[in-house]
Amino acid sequence: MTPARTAAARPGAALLTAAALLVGVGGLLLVALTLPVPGDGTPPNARLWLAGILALLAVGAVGVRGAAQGESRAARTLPAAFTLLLAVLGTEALLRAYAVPAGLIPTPGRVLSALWTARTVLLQDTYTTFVLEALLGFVAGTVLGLGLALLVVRFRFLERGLLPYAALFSSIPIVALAPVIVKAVGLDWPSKTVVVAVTVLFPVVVGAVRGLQSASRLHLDLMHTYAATPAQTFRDVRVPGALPFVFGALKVASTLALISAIVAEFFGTNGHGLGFRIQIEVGRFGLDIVWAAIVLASVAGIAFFALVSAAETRLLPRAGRS
Amino acid sequence: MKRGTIILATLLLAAASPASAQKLVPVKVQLKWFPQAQFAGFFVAQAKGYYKAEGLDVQFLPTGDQSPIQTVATGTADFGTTWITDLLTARQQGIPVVHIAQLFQKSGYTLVALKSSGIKTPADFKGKRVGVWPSGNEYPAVALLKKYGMTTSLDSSVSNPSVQAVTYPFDPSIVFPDKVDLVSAMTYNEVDQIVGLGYPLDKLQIFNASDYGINLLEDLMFTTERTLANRNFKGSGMSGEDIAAKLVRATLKGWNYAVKNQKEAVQIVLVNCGNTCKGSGTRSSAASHQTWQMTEVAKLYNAGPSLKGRAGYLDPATYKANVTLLRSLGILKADPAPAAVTYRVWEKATGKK
Amino acid sequence: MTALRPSRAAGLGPMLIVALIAAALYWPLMLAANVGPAGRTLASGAELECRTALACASQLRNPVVPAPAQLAQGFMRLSTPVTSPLALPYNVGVTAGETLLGLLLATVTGIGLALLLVASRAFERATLPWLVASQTVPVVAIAPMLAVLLGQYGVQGFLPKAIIAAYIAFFPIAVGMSRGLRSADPLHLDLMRTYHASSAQTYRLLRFPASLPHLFTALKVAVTSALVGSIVAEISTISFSGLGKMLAENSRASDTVALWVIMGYGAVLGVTLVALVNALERWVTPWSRR
Repeated sequence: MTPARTAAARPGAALLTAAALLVGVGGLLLVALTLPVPGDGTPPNARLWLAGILALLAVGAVGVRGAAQGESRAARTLPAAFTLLLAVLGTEALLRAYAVPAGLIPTPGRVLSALWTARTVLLQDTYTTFVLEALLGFVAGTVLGLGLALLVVRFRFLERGLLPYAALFSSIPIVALAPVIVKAVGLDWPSKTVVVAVTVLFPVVVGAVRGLQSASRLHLDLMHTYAATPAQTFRDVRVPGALPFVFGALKVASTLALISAIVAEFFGTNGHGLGFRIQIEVGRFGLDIVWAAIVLASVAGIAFFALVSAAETRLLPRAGRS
Repeated sequence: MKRGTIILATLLLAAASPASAQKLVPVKVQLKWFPQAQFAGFFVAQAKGYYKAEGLDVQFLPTGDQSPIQTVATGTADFGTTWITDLLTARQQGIPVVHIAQLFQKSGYTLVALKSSGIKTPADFKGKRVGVWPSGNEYPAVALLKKYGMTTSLDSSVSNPSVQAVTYPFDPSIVFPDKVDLVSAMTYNEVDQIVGLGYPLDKLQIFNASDYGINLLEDLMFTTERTLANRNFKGSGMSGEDIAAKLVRATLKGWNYAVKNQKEAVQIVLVNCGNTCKGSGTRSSAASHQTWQMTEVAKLYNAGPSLKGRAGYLDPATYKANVTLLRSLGILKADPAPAAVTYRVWEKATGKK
Repeated sequence: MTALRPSRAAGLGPMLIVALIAAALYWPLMLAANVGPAGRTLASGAELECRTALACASQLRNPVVPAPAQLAQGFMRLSTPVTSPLALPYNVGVTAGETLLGLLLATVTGIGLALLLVASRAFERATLPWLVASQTVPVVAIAPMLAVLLGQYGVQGFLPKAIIAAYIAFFPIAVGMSRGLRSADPLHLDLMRTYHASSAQTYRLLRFPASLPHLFTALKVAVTSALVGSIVAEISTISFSGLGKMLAENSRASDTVALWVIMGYGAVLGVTLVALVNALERWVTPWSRR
């Protein structure tokens, strides 16, 4: 696209970028600290502050835009980091300016301190939801899905008889499934693992079958002329061809897994898990803990997604990456 | 037939009332739960045209997972019903909600065990599994447990609790009796659902929270400071406080009628509920369950101040006891601000002091 | 999905056989699933109308898996009268409406974002990680809060559900569309450049047509997500009607049979919506038909 312009090559631009970022972030920080915490002192004149906060955000955005120029490592990572910083500080300042009660929306500062004070319980909850429910369910669903896909590809009858159902089931909203499964399997974590496994299963089957069948006629014919055994053909042509599709499905499934686990927890738990914590604390107006749990769920979700992406990079030849 | 009569009566009343000539003020009320006899007074007041007679056009919002406090605090609804613990904890978190009338004068919260489980006193709860409802409905159980020196996994600051709390979406049959030893139940709702599962009352050990000094008041009416201070409520020319008084007056009239004419009240309730009025399971009838509910709810309404002709009045002594209890349990960190409760609306509505 | 559809006539036979096998297995599976709870209920001294665990298994009030007769009864009970706002057909319609509106919002947002992502590298670098992150936020948790916030500005009823549906549906569309916009043949792009085609012309003639298959693949994922979103939103916010509202009600009344029936309706709705997108795809891009 545009020729690579590095910030370093244009010191004037770099200086401007740095100044804009400094003014944006520093200004918002200053505003956030000056304003009283909601509930303390008299509510400030919100309109006036709003104008100031928006102006500072705009300055910050100019800085972020400047920081994104070029191909250096910093240009790839800094913009996202500064966007988050600006968003968090802007939210803090806005909530303080409008004196929004903590029981409705807590300021990011409160959420951070809740993350720290309730860390033992929150980490236990994350373990339950992420490791026991989402991860285990994801692995079970994937293994089952891949096995089913192999069977479907191997037996033509199954492809015709079973696959249409798999495609059908993958368009069923899982929320409708959660209460039924939780009721059938029980309130402990395995019921949530089952919900996750079921949600993951069908997209994986569909993706894997499509992948396994994606091998081109040409390649298959070629293997045939080489007198390759079916096993060799499978290993050398079908599996590599299937991987991009499988990983595509797994990436979708990774975010789905965590969300399904949390949804399923809403239909009954034995007192553990992020979904449980969110539900119980919403009722107590402990919204700082609720948001802390949401942040943890989100971080776990991103880590999960990154893990699957990393596995994809490791296993896929460059060309086949989706 | 009865439905038809009621609708006809409603229409006649509406037509006869002089207020229908002038423009009605739209008022949104958030009930705490799905339509059922727990709110009989509201539905009766609506059906009998008591709200219209006060010049109000009342709409009841159905509940979701969100607390009535939040819908009222943000102005989605103008008034709501909730439990006192909910109101006071919200107040503690800086949400300016105000108590305006107390409908139930006694707590109907119970924990239920099978007699065969051998649980005889709250001291036996230790190490047991207790089923509670989330979303702020767990406090009476927490209070009872704390009173007997026990902790639960509900508290995000406790990592090694002495009682295992199990949460589930409100229906006892999901967990009782095989997944928990004790289950939360309101006298007017879940107790009958448990009976409907095949456990007659003589097989059940019922712990009424109020018998153990946990008389945390339930259904009350509330609004926000902003609504009360509003000089011109939705352009009606009346103050928010006046509207609140009208609403309370009509609602109490509805309640007084409902508890005196329970059969008719049940019929009115049944018109209002979709799939929610039936008891547990697929075979119990809505009518019989709501009849039970009406009887039990009447007991909670006809207690305390109501017996002295002061229905809707929040007994200051009971309120003080509630606050003291919640503070001793650490659920409240400080006494709520005096503005958490106003008697002006009730006084205006009833003309009493 | 198109790739998965074998020629119809040949496909039906095996599908029927599988369906028959499943139907034959249902009864014993149902008994196996219910016999445990039935036995426990009897052992705890409950007074039921049946004597043995096996006899009770097909007539539990809250079965783990309902017996066919119970399902049929539940289906009739919940589906009639067809036009009643309390019956399922009406509520399916409401949810379908919310989902489609949500999908529309999501498509507009998704395409807009994709254009920005493709046009500005700075925008992509600053926001893409957070767009991914937005999808890992549990919607169930934020839906009630979002609804409360929207309610404050008078946005109530239909719209909050559509917005929440759009929140989870926009992401696959944005990703699919931006991949699609970039999928134009580099050779063709070079050609456009040599013709001094304007940026708008390049988009209109080259990038948009190239993106359509990607867009439709994304839409098929998005429509299912949107359906989940609107159901979750109905469960967790004030709702007068919809599948989610019925799910919440019946889950609380522990009407397992109703839950199964609602799940069936949800499945039919999900499949119908995907079929709708497929039909739209065939109509818009007739050349891609296999």
